[in-house]
Amino acid sequence: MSSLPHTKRSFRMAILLAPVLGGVVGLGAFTFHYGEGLSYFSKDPRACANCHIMQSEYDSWTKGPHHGTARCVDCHLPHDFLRKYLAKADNGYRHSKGFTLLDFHEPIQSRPSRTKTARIRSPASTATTRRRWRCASPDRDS
Amino acid sequence: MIGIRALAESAEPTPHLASITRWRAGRREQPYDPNVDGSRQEMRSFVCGQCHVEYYCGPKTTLFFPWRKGLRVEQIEDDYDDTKFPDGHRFYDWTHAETGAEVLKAQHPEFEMWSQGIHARSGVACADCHMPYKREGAAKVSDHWVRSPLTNVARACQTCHPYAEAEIAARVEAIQNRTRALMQRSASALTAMLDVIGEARKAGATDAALAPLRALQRKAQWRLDFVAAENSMGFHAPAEAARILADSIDYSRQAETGARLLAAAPAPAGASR
Repeated sequence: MSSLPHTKRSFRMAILLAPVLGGVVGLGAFTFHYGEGLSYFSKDPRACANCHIMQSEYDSWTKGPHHGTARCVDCHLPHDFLRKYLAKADNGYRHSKGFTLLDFHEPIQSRPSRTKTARIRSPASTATTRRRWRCASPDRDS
Repeated sequence: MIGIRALAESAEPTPHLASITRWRAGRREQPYDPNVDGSRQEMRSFVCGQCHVEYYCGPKTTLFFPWRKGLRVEQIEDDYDDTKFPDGHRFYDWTHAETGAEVLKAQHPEFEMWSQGIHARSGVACADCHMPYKREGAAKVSDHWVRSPLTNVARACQTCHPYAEAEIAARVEAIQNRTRALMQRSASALTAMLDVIGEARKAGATDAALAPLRALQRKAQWRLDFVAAENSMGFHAPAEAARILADSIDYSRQAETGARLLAAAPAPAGASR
């Protein structure tokens, strides 16, 4: 019968695949935990300041009057559910990629809004990067 | 979004918001969406205009922004006057206890006042003055303290205005002192009006006789409140603030005169006492 060797082969494949799959899932879970992945589902401003380059903005925001009424996401993300989580997903992907491969520009720069989901992007920009904004205002950039 | 979309769909010129002008000239297949159509520089004001605007968010009807006719004080008033509660009653915020007038209450119309000023017309956004940049090493950081530009004249004003800090502060102070003085004049006129209308009412003036006076009170009080509730003491649009207060004083004095004439005239036959 051919069924026995076939089962045997599947079993061997499973034995081989298990550590690979387990490794991917385990490493993924560890990275997610270590990177405080869950915190990005919240609207806690401390999550935005996880990354040290936001420290200046975070510090001045805690000093200012807005910390009583508006958090980071109230100004920097769309308010409606779908667009908010789309923007979070987009940013999350880029952050993970950037901080894993460390391939982002130093000093960090804002990029043109491709998804057009964000209500306002990082205001940090120079004259040259501002030109790259798809929606840059012509009267400011001339 | 509801407010700015209604503004875009109105015919009111908005020279300081070029994206609205562009959207109007286009095919209008999609409704105006500030997140899509707005320029980056406009977003630096729109983001503040999500809260720092005039709106009604009370128990009597659902949230709305009175921008369907434009952003000026009379246009907002017109919009409110045209708005009806679900029970059919004309829109009002509260009833004045002494005169019985149904009056309006301004929230914090910073975006609207800024829209009438020279800074808006010159393409200067809220964040330019209230969140000025500073350099930290190689990075530009915008100030998230978000406070009065007077606390940081060097970065908030002097990036455009090449004058001494004391000179700039003195200009702002002059504008704010003038606005403050006009507000005081306006408030004196308003209280004088309230007193005589209240007396006329006590003396038995009918609702019909009081109606034109109450209408003037609504106008006068709305204008004074619009400037007083706006958080720049006139600076966001100095000439506009002065114009609004001048109108307020005039409406108050018109109503005061009207109430005095009413008191002097013999009561019409059949008037309730």
